[in-house]
This record gives sequence, structure tokens and C-alpha cells, in this order.
Amino acid sequence: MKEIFSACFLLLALVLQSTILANLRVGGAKLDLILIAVSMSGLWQGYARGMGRGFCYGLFEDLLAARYVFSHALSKAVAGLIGGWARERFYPDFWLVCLAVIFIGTIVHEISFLLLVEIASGGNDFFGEGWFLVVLASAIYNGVAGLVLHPLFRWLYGEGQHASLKKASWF
Amino acid sequence: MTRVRRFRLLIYLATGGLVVALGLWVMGATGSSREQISTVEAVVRDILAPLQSGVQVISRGMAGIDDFFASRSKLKHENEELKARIAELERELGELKEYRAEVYRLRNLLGIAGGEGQAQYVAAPVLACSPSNWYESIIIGAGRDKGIGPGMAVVSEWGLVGRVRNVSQHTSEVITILDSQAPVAAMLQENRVAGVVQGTADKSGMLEMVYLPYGLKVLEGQTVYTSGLGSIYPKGLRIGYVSKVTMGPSGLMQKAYVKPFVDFSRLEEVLVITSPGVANR
Repeated sequence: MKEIFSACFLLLALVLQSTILANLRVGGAKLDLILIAVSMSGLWQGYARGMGRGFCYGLFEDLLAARYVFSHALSKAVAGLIGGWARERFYPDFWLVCLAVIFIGTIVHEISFLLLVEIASGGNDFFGEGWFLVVLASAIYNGVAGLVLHPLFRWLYGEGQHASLKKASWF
Repeated sequence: MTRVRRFRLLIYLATGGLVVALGLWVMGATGSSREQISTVEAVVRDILAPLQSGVQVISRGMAGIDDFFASRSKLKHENEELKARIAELERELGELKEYRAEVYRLRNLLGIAGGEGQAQYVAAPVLACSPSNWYESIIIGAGRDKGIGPGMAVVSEWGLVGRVRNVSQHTSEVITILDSQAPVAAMLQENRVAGVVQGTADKSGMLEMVYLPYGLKVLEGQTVYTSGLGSIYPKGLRIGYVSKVTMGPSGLMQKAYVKPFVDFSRLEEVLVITSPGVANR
């Protein structure tokens, strides 16, 4: 049942991000609901599901953008990995952990995305003047929005997933 | 670390490396210069288009609520101002029509071809924007069914918007001039200085005009138009005005910051120039 809600959330997030939220920029950055969802999924459900969700959601974004397909998929998988890493070490319900995971996840996601498209395009100057300020603004914007949406993600991804709280043996 | 764990780690690293390498290969093949999109991409875009259109209609309707409550006196004052502006523009239009007729006559006398052809436009609603921080593109509600193809210039009532990057059956993706991957050959109207206008990485909504030789007079407030070089955009489309002039890092070139005429956050409808013979308008 919750997976249906998750799929609906993905659809809603894609539509909102490409319409209303695209014009609500803060410091040049747009709100990335999908990234917040992926980070929270990693934080509540562990590495595997965070990465898997990040890859699938990112792939949808890539198909919609029709440019550098797999760039969002790979970089969002990294954001899911960071959420999973934090889950092994911190208490996921603490607001500061949630904020830190989204903040760091956004920075790593944006930098890995830029690196990937820079490599794929053969040095097309994506790292222009002022790029890091946009990344920082994006991290703060997503972090604050993530705190507001925290209860929703706890409900979506949190309940019934505590079995994966045990240490992952493969990292 | 036991041998089993080390082996597992190795397997994960190898798989990860393979996925990244495969991803890079696909990214290279689906880069920004691609004009054709796959069936899957077209289907995803066409499925989301009605939803995006619905959300846009609702959000624009809500944005119009405050206008509804605007005071009567304010509207009266604005009405008077607009009437005066219309009168002024009609006078200017009359003059320009005279000039146009004169240009045609002189062109005919000199035997210069081109310029007589009227541009053909297809109007399309703006359905969505790119959700990514780094892409500046919009999706419009007209595609192959309306005769739109890759490379066509897109304008609004304010000026140049961008060019069509790819099309599906009912939608098209327009890469806007704010995108750093979509440079525009441009020139200053007053002194015909040529340069290249492109988006900035700081996403401030400004453009930068580069390759302006040192010593040429570039002033704030000068209007920037498309130069028609490179044959992507027709000549004479309004882009923006110069808001600041600085020296390039080498000291050999100047760089001008250009404020676009188009307000991309309020873009509701655009016009796609479908006729090829609109150069030298």
C-alpha cells in the first residue's frame, strides 16, 4: 500500500517540481522533492532501498529531461547511499540527523551530477562562475523543506522497517 | 576483514564501476546536442503533459486572485496610462510601417533577396519547466502534430525565448537562452558590435555577452539583438539590454551582463517560428 503512495508521491513531485516549484527559486536553486524523498528513504530503509529508489526516481527525471540520461539516476543513487550510511550510525528520527542527511546528500548529489555531465559532455563548462553558491542554496532549501516534510517520510518509509536497523555486513 | 567480506566488497565495487561506466556511455549518447528523443522519453513526457498543464492552469488562476481585488482607482489610473502608451505605440507603428515599405522598395531597387517573407508562427502554451537546477528548458504544448521541428526559434511577446531542442507527438522541449549550453550569436543594436550571449552558472536569471573586443564602446542600457550568425536564430530578435560591463579575466575582452526582456517565470505562451525564410527580418 505504501509503495502505491510512494509512486503517487513521485508523480506528484515530478509534476510540482516542473510547474509551481520551478518558479520558486531561492538563491538560484529549485526545491528537489525527489532528492528529499531519496535521502529519507536511505535514512529510514537502508542502503539498498535508498540507492534503488534514488536510481529509479532519478531515471524518471532523466527520461523527462531527455538529456544526459542516467545522470540523475546515478547521482540520486549516491544520495540514497548517504542516507543509508547515516542510518547505520545515527538515530533516524532525530531532526538534526534528517537535516544533515538532506544537506550533505544534496551537496554530494549536485557535485556528482555536475561531474558526471562534465565528463559525459567532454568538458562543457557546467562548473561556471557561482555554481557552488547554487549548490549551497539548494542544500539549505532542501534541508529546511525536508524538516517540514519529515513526518510524511517517517510515515512513508519508517514504519515496519526496523529490521534493517542491524548493521549491514557488507560495508 | 575476512576473505569473504573482501571478496563481496570487490564485487560491489566492480558492479558499481560497471554501472557508472555504462551510465557515462549512455549520457554521452544522450547529451545536449541530441535532437531525437526515444519512444520511452516521448511517452513519459506526453503522459505528464496533461497533469502539468492542469497544475499550471490552477496555479495561474490562483495568481490572478489578487488582481481581482485590485482597487478601482488603481485600475483607472493604469487604464489611462495604457491608453496613452497605445497612442504612442500606434504613432511609432505608423512610422515603422513607412520605414518597412521604404526598405522593401530600396531592396527591390538594389536586387537584394530576402526580407519580404512573412514569418510563420505556431502558438503554444508553456506546460512545464525543467525540475533540475542546471537545465533551463521548458516544455510547450505543441509538437510534431503542429509542424514543429528541432532547431526552430521560439519567441514571446517580449523577445527571444530559445530554440526547440526535441519534439514528441504533442509536446516540444525548448532550451531557453538562460541555459549555458545554448549560446546565441548576438549584437548590440546601437553600434552593431557582435558577441555571444549565454546563460550564467549562478542561475541569477541574467545572461552574459562575451567575446566583446577591448576598446569597443559597450554601454549600459544598450539593446541586444540576435545577429543571425550561425543560422540558428533569425536576425533581429530582441534578447535584452546591457546592465553591467566588466573586463574579461585576460584583459583583452569585455564582458557585458544582459538582462533578458523575457520574464521566464511568467511565461505562459510562446510562438515558434516555423518558416525557415525569416532571416534578415
